[in-house]
Amino acid sequence: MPGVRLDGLNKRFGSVAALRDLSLDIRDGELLALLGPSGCGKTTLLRCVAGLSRPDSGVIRLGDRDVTDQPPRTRDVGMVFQGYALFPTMTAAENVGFPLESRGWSGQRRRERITEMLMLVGLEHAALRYPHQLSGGQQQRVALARALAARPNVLLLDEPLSALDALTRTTLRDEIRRIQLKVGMTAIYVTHDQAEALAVADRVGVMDQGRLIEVGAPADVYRRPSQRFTAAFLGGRTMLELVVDAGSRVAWGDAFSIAAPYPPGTRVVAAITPESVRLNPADGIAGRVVLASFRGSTIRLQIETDLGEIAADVAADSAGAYPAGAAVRVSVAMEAVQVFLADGT
Amino acid sequence: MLDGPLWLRIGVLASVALYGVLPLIATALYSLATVWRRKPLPDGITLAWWTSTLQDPGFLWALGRSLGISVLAVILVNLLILPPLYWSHVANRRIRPVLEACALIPFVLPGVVMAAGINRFVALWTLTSRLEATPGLLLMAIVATSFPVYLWAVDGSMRAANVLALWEAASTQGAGSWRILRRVVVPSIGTGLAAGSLLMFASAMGELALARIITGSSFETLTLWQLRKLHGTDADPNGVAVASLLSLFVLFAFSFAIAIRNRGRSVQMAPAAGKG
Repeated sequence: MPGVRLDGLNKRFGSVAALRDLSLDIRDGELLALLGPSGCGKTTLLRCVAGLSRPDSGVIRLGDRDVTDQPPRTRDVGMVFQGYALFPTMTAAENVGFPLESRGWSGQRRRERITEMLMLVGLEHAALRYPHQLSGGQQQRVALARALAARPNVLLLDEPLSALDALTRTTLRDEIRRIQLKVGMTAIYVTHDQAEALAVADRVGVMDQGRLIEVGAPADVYRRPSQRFTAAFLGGRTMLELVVDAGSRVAWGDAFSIAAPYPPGTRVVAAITPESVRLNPADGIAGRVVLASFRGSTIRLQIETDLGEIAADVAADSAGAYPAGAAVRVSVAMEAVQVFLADGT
Repeated sequence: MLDGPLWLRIGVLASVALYGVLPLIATALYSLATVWRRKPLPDGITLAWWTSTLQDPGFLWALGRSLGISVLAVILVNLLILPPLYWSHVANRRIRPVLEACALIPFVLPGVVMAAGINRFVALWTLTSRLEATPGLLLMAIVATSFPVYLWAVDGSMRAANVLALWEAASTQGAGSWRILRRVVVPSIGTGLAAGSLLMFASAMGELALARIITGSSFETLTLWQLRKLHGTDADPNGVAVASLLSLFVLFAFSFAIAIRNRGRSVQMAPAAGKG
């Protein structure tokens, strides 16, 4: 039985289609991350599941219940909002207790559950603090505890970490995943941050212009995207517009040449991940480093060639070898090149 | 921030303070003056006006009527305006233009015109004609003409508290709209509710045109009593000063209670830009 089943959802806001014939099954206990650029419809989808927006057509099932026409309060979901949406006049404990109070939990049982949830998110010491007395990370932990308190069937997370600093994001991201695995709850996690989506999810769904264009395991979606949009959106790939040659091959100078499943003359896009670019090989095309940006364990180089610009990652300890302006030769690991139709998705 | 030398800054602040406080000082001195002729200060000081006014049954009744009708107006405006305003924030934005259009009417029509219109309107039908010239009609008219001050104060605080976000969060946690209003929204906009109620109370306490035309002397409010004491055959202008100060004290006490409750938090009285 799926945890969530969405069937043919459509939603328009005036002339803008926010969801287009969107269908999706999420397994019980699975965490699915919805990834896409701003305005792709991922938050609209989450709001439809929560009952905060009503789809124009389609069916939403939570477990075996059709909840399409039900109000949010009867859907049995827990939701974590981007801006936390904690109740400012309630303490952390009262915030966590609110869904229990709404669902008629008795006093003693409620108190025990509040303590349990605050311990789960490591905030038992802050039970009596008001939201304005908590840091952003602590507020989001309270929001998570509140969303989980009444044991909902589905947990919905709408860009839960976007307002936090980088360190807190990483810590809390891992914590959300740990807690989700511990309670075994079906969850939908909306984000525009690919690192976040790939790190927390069992599966990643990529959305574009109201459509769910690809769903798969994080490693599959990252390494072998089936859609051009996904390839461009994930992994910082360079997208090279090329034409299939007379020998049905796609080539970028001497950097790579691979067989293409399209007839000669077809306009295609070759997607190349920065980590598959090799520098200073025996062959390849000549280029010049125009920008080197430090990324921790790697350095991202932007290399300008006569045939266009390409991004390449090199180990951080070799940064000294590639200062801006350095001359390099570039080739690409052929097995890493993916080719898509230029006019397709 | 004011720039310039210290003496200039102090001078400007003192002028502003004097401008605000001088009428109060003058009223207070007049309420204590035996006689006050063309001199900066009264000829003598007496508490006679205070004692005579506070022992005047006419004044006490008028004060009681005004306080009663003002308290009822505050209760009524909270019951009538808060629910649709809340609903316009969380569920039906189309209510908002209607409320805003209604709120503009009292600023377009003079009070006496509205009062006459209200009196004529209720006289049209047998059922409603019983309300003609009654305190009940005066109460309804005060609420109808003064509710904009309440509306704007509470609307501003609802926007500042982002009531829609609170409602959405609470509704996904199993709460119905009334529970959310009671447990989440009202505590979150307490400052705005208090400010709106205070403005409504002050507006009702000072209402003259409606009281004069709708009920007249059959239900003498404090402002009508003051008017009579200014121009009537039993004129008592010093008593009017006493009454003005007393009603001011009531409002100050109300404001002070709100300030203590909110411990210095500022109140957003005017509608703010939406969050989008």
